[in-house]
Amino acid sequence: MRGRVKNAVRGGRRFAVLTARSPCRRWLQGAEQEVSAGLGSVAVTGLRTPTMLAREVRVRTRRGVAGVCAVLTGVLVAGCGTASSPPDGDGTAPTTPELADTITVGIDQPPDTYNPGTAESSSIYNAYVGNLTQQAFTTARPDGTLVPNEVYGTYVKTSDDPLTVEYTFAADAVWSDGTPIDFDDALLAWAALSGAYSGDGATGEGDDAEGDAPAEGARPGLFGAASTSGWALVEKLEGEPGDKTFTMVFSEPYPDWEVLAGGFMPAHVAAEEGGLSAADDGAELVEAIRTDDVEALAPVAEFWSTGWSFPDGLTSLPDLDLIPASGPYRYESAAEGALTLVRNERWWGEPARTEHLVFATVGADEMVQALENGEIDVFDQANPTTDMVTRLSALGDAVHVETGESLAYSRLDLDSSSTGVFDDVRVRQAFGRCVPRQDLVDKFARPIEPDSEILQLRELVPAQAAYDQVLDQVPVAAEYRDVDLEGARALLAEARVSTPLRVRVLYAAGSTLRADQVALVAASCNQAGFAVEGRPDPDLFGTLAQRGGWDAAIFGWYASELVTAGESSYVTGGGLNFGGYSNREVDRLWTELGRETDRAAALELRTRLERLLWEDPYNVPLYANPGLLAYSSVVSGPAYNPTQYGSSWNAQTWTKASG
Amino acid sequence: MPVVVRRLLVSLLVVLASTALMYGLVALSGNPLQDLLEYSGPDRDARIAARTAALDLDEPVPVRYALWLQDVGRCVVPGGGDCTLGLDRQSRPVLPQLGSALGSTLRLVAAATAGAMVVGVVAGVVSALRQYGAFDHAATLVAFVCFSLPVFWVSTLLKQYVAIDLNTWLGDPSLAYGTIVAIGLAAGAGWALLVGGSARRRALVLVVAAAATSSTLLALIISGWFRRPSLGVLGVAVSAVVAALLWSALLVGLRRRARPVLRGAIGSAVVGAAVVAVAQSRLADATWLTLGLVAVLVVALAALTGWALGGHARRAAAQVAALTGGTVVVLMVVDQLLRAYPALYHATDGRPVSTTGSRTPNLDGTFWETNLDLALHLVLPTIAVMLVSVATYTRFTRSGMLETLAQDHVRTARAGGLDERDVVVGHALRNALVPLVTLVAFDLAGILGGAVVVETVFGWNGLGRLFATGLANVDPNPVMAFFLVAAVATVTCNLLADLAYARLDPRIRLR
Repeated sequence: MRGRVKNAVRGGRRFAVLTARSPCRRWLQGAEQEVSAGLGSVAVTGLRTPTMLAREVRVRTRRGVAGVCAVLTGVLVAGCGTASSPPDGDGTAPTTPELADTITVGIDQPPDTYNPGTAESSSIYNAYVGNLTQQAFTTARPDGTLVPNEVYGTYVKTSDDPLTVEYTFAADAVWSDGTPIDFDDALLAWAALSGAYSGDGATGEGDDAEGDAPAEGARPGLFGAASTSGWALVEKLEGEPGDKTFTMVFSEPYPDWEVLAGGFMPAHVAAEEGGLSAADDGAELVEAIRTDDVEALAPVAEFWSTGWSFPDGLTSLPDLDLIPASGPYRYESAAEGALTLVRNERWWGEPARTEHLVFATVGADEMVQALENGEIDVFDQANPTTDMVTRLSALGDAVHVETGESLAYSRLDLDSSSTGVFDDVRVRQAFGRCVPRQDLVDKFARPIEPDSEILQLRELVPAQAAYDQVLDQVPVAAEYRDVDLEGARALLAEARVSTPLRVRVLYAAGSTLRADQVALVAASCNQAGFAVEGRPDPDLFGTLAQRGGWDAAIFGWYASELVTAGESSYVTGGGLNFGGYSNREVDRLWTELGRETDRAAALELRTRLERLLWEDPYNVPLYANPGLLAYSSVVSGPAYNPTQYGSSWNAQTWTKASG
Repeated sequence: MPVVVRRLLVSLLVVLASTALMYGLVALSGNPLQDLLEYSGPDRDARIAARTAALDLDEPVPVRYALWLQDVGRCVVPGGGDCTLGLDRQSRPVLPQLGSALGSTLRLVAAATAGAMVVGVVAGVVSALRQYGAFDHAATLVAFVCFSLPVFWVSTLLKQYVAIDLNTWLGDPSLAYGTIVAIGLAAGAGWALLVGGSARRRALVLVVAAAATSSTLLALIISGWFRRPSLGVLGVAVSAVVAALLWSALLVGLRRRARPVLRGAIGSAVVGAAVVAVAQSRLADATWLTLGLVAVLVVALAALTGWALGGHARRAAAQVAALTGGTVVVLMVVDQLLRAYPALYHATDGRPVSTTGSRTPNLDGTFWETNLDLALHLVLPTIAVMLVSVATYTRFTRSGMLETLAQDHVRTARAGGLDERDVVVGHALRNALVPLVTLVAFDLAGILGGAVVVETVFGWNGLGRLFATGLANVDPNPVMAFFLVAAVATVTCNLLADLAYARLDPRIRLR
């Protein structure tokens, strides 16, 4: 404090008079007056007169206030310093970095059942958990290739006609409650998934249940399986209780036979809950299925269909004895949408690296903040926005972000029916030539995944390993790679349609993304002789099913590991063939593909199909949607995986440094 | 009571009409099969059929509404069959979902209502007493800002600054000296506005409060309090004595005649603190039962102490002492929760304040750790929901107070020589609070509405989530379950408010 302090002697006492030019001065004077006024009524004490007393107090007050001002100023001057707490604990840093015992994965919605094979299972996150708790004979790599899972068991195709596959569970394969995984589990899977007891006319013999919905309001019979496709072709498994080996004999060739051997549920649990004995390796259940004892099977089937459901919102788990695991993790607990898995001590393969794995339900918009706050360690997002990418990159080194092309893609279907605008193949070809696909990729995919490219095949996406190999053999795709307005005009002229040709493009109402895309398409194709009109529709797929209300439609779809997944989009009269496309050669190829059990031969057929679908196009594939995986930098191990297993595909190898 | 019956009937009709409207709006808001139509799996048709059956999609909307009413009827009429409140689109009964969602939402609604009332009423009363003063202007400004803030935006900001940044700070609790002083000055300014008085008095309050705040903060930081916080028995005792003083000052005043009350209150504070000191170690692994027992014991002992020391005013003394005892219980709970903090800090990897969910998954903690975790999850959503309500309560209480303060009976009371505390607390505030009963009932609907947004942003599995996902999926039954709870709660509260009104205000008669 700058100022002048004058010492004086008044009334026999020394006191300091402050004549400061400090900010405190005016305030000081005010305080002084107040204190003086307040002393007016003080009684005379001792020898001091009221005046003396007042002066004395005034002096003390001045000193006190001056002190406060000095301290405050001192603190302000020292403002650059920092007060901090002493470190916690004994202060010695651990010599080796410790690993945390819990890793949390953020998911959009909770898993809803232990049994993903039921019709009521609908959460895509069942697969995220399932690949850790319930394994199968095969697993899918991130690039979509199918690999045998030899830890779980082995299989070998012993015959092509009839297609026969021999499966062997690993000798030490046990459920996490100690019961061996063996024949009764396989037989229960057959009973449930083949539709043999579903009571809706679907028999086990060659009746592919695809498209064969239960009658209106009809209750599903025994075993409400989501799908009997594939399994329906399998003859009843033969074997003895306790066998580790079983053989699947198909009545017809089935191309996706390798992905079938999964979905094994613990038969001993279902048997006991269904009132049968689980003793002797499930002999009672095996006997009941062997003799088609529907009465004995009914309670088992009832339990199989409903007993393994989780309560909505995953507020709790069923009794843990009912949900044993056959993977590196087993179930431990659940509360408020968060599922906790714990390392399965009975897992016979490579043990999981981290003790607990938690799947926490977090809204997609809240993931970034939750990751930043350390509440989740990993999340993936199939539909990331550029905003999400920006916010993640703002977190810098604290977060690793991997982007890639997902299995979902955008496409533009054309009404190719005889009444449609695109009846003539040349008009479809012309449209394919004017759609600015590179622009769409640049504007809508590259901001998130810089390596995005134009999607040039229909049944394969770039994330799948076979994509490049097949594309090399489909040279016709290159004709459409660049916008060719001249070519489009020529084709339209050749087709003798009157231009401008009106094209109503349907897209989901409320999607600004699709609206922008339609505007880009219009800007390009209108130069070639089309008159593109965007038609936002709140009920896109409802409208799509009725031809006449639209000429083209832009929407998202997704590729699958299944060979036959795309069939209904392209075959004549297919359920998803909205545009009424029909090409006999295409139909024939799909039929052939549906009977091809050799993967290499199937790929050859698919290549021919792709070629044909460019020569006589039904739709225009645009780009594979970008996907994203983000994880905290304290976690190591996660890698982007666009398949159904999602982020958790290799979670048993993850570790997290303790914070 | 024909009035009650008539009101009940009218309420029932209101609920019925509003549910019909709501059901129609939800059912017509989109295509409930949308996601399945976009689905290409082999079981597509089976799923479509299952959902069609679950939601009775083959029936027209009015019939579906009637079916829903029938489902509700099964819950109302005893022995009327399965009470499910209908099925959701995955064929699961709605009632269990409602049950599990209700818990967390009730916590949120109760905390927000209580918080909003306390903050709003205090701010409103002070605003009225300092009409057109700096505090009044500031409170008005803040109230209108709160009115106009979008809840989702506030929630996101709270998550960023209060959760994420606060967690980071808690990892290394340190502050620049300049910041400490600035915080102190801000707190001082707040106190100065609150206390009011002459410019000189306010300046004095500012300096004292600023110095106290800054030095406390400094001491807390340097001593590592933010790593291992607690009040300690001493802290509880001192706070209890202060609370005793405040309650006595507020409720009976500190004049000579009321001294026995003060004596009783301080005595009860000391007794309460003593009980806390004894019970402290045993409370470490408490349950709701033991905590309840200790709470009852403390309040009862406090009331007895007040009665014993209260002299001629033993009734008032016992009441104030019981309040003080209640405060001691609250302090004790806070102390125990704070003690649980280091364990929770460790369990959450150093991020105790969360942005999502209503509890930390897989937290296998003690009673206090679990409850501290729940409280830390509750605090941000509560603040977000509270804001609008606080603004409402503040404005409402302010105008109510101003109105009563201007009335004849208050002037008469002042003229009769009653001191200002008696006039404000005993004559003005009591009357001003009567209309607030209506507001509480009215505000409940607003808080439930706010909870929808807040639960979505904070990722709670509550009623709001049930409503929001149901609406997004065009799944009417979960939405209706939420709506039923909201409508019944609102109508019931309004009915209760009307009945209570008649009791509180003898001028009003129900006819």
